[in-house]
Amino acid sequence: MKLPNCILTFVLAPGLLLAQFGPTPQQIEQMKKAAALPTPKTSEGHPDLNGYWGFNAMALAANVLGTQKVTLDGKVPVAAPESLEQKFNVSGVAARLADTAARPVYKPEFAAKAKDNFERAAFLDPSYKCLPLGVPRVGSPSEIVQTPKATYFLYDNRNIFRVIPTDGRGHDPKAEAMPMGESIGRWEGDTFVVDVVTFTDDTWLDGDGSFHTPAMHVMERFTRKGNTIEYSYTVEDPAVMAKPFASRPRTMMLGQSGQHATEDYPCYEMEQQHLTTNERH
Amino acid sequence: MLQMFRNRVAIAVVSTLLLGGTAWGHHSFAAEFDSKKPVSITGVISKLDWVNPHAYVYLDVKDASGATARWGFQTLPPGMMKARGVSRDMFPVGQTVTIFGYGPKDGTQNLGWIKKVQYADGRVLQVTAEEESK
Repeated sequence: MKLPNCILTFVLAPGLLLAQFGPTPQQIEQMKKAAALPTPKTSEGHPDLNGYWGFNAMALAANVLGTQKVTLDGKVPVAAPESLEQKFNVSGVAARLADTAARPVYKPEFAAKAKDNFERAAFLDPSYKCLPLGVPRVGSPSEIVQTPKATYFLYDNRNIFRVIPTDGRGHDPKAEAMPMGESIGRWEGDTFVVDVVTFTDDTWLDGDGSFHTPAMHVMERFTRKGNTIEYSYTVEDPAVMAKPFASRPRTMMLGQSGQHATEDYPCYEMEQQHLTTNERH
Repeated sequence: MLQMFRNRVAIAVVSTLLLGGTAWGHHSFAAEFDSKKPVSITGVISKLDWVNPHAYVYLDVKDASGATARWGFQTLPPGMMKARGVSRDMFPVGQTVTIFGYGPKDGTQNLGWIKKVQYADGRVLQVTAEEESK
């Protein structure tokens, strides 16, 4: 048993702090400095997306305390403070309800379903039951491997990978509908665009019940700026949505050289039967 | 030591923030457990389920008659615990521990939430803070 004898008692922070804990001015400044660095290119002339772009919470914690010098040259891990969406995830359901820009606007005939999903999300969320997150809920990849004919996305969570052909092919009309859809990639200037179609309809776009049909069309955009990538996506699903939905952009920050995506723990849900309220993170 | 203490606090804050998002959406403590139902149960760790969306630690607990009942204690997602420095080998199967936590709102028997673990030698592992159990 590897117990640290010197300090076994972990003193954890008050939950109330979490609600107020967005990116600090120091972290934002770090991101700005990282974005101002030169943007490396591949031999094909495209911005180089290769690398680990996932979270490194421990490193960020150290950075916050100033115990680790941040050089912003890509050699020292700097984690990305997530967007406002992350902040809302920990500040409660009420705040997210008020943040209507965080979710799609549905056609009037589907408003009741959206409201019911939101109000019962803890009971209905397929993700709680270990079912796939799907695109775009899976979010930005933890690691990107970029080759001339294909780009590979690896995720720290749920052992997910995605293969995105970039050889000029179109969508496969025979592709099987899947939670992650079928992706093809292309470059629009310095932005890598991932075009995703052919979904199943059993995933949500978020933890608040935003649903979609199999006809959903997702466009993800990745723009490397220095040692950061700006990531955002749009969702079109005219069968149920009143207008296309545009996500808030997120900034991913380059991790440590040699850092890679890691295996996630398996999922086996056992608590659904005991839930009494809709409170959720 | 003070710096180490402050590191622990900051790590807990930031890791909870970062890992609580897209990785594993999950229900709140209050959706399942009742902070007004504190429990403290002593038993032998008999099994671990180190799984998402929440890990479980099981105790075999003997009552006054000598009969053994299995308690299941839910805790944080394993990735979140890892970020806090809490690993599965801190719950050694076969060891006697006392788990302090809370009971469920729905009245299910032998089910709880882990706040802290006290080992036979008196040391304490605080897994979640009081403020997180609300």
